[in-house]
Amino acid sequence: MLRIDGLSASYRGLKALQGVTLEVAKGEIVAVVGANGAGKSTLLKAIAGQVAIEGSIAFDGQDLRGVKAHMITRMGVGLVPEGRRLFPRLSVEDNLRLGAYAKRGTEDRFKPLELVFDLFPRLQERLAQRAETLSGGEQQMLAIGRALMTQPRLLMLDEPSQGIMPKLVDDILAAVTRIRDLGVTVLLVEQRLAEALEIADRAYVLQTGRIVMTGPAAEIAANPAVRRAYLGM
Amino acid sequence: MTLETVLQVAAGGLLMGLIYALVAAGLSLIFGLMDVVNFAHGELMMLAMYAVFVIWQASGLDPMLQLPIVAAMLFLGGMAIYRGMIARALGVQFNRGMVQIFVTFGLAIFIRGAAQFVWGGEFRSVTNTWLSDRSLNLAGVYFPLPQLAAAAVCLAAFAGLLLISRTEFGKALEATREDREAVALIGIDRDRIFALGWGLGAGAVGIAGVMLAGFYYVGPNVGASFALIAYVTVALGGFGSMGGALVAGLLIGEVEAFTAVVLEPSLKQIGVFGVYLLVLMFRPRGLFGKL
Repeated sequence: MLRIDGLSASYRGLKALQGVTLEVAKGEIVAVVGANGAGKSTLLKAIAGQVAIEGSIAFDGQDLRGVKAHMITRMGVGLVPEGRRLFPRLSVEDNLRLGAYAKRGTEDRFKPLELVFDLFPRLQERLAQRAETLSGGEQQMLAIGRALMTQPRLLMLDEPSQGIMPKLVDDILAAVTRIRDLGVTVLLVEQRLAEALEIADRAYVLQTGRIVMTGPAAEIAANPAVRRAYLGM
Repeated sequence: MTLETVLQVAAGGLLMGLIYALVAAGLSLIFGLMDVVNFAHGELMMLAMYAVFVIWQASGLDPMLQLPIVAAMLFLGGMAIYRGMIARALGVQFNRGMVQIFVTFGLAIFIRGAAQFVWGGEFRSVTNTWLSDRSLNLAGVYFPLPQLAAAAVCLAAFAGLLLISRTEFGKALEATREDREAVALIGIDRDRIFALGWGLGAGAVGIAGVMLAGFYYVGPNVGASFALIAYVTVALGGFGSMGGALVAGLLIGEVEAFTAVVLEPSLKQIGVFGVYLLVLMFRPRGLFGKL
């Protein structure tokens, strides 16, 4: 579904990715793990069309290079970004409904709302509240919900556990698994190794902009060298 | 001053105030959306007034009937300015702040010069309209019909802007204003939203210009004086606040009207700029500012 070949990108003047090659097949959860500053966020930004790149990124066979960010979203690539980037003064409901804005004119464009409320019942209780008044965990749920409203085929999550109570991290990762089971492919970037590898099928280890290891998630999780050398654990 | 005079002056201030409010609303809309001050805002109004004059001279079409035509022209013109100039200015790599200032400032000077070149420096006016020289007498207070119609249309346009802000497009506009990068994540083309924002801002000032042309002289510098008042209005109301523009427009209209009576008409702007100084000193974010 997603095929990345020889990808290099700079972020704020620094070379953040160098020759990254990565593949995600339909229906998988693929985790990209690595220490802070390894280039994980830049990788997702590159796929979403937010940074200039060298190399190739193909989504369902279509080259994403030079495609504008909003068009990449419309092609079916959803990103839940670092920091969530909600619209703070709009209500929870408006944040969600705007996710379907680009699909105006199509019937059933608000249908994913049912799924979102099923995954995150708390959001339904807070529909009229401004997004900025939600707790960190609720904001993360809303960011995932907003991305689901765009009806993505590939959902990319940038550190969904960041700034969230440990109890909620499990809830959110459980929701990610359910989202995959509903047919959405997932590319997950995480600093928390154990939790990410638990739900992933395969994983890539990123270190200073390069892929240094790849394989089934269970194998990576069991490899002591990974913990020591690349993740500082 | 008798009570009758006070009411009469207040009525005049109210009518002008609604026009100021709409002019300021257009300016505030664009600024709030993308942090760009449109220094050519007054010149857009001047172009709308000349458009009314030219169409009226050529066809005799009454300004009231020209309203939708000229408003649509300004709407499209605003979008064209965004696409042709502002989008490029936003994309420059260096000195973006300076470029953004000078691009609209340069546009203002260009439009003013072009108007001078095409129509000359003399004042023109549209006469013998449906409403010319007619007035309404309400309990001894006298409302000239051209001014009354202008105020009513500006109020309606204001209501229109508020209605738009409640639509789905309005929400997208608000989302873009809150996080112009993040809207790409929901498939919104921010360039399109920005262009439509410019269209609405220019359309609003165009409507004010059309109605003003029914009773005010038209000349190359007419926009500049209204734009100055609009900056004061926006600063008083709070940058980016629509409700603030309405309240501030009315306040400025009243301050100007009463200054003209208390001092003398040629000094009427002293009150306006006095208010401006007070705002800057005591409440720089304005009455309803979000900054």
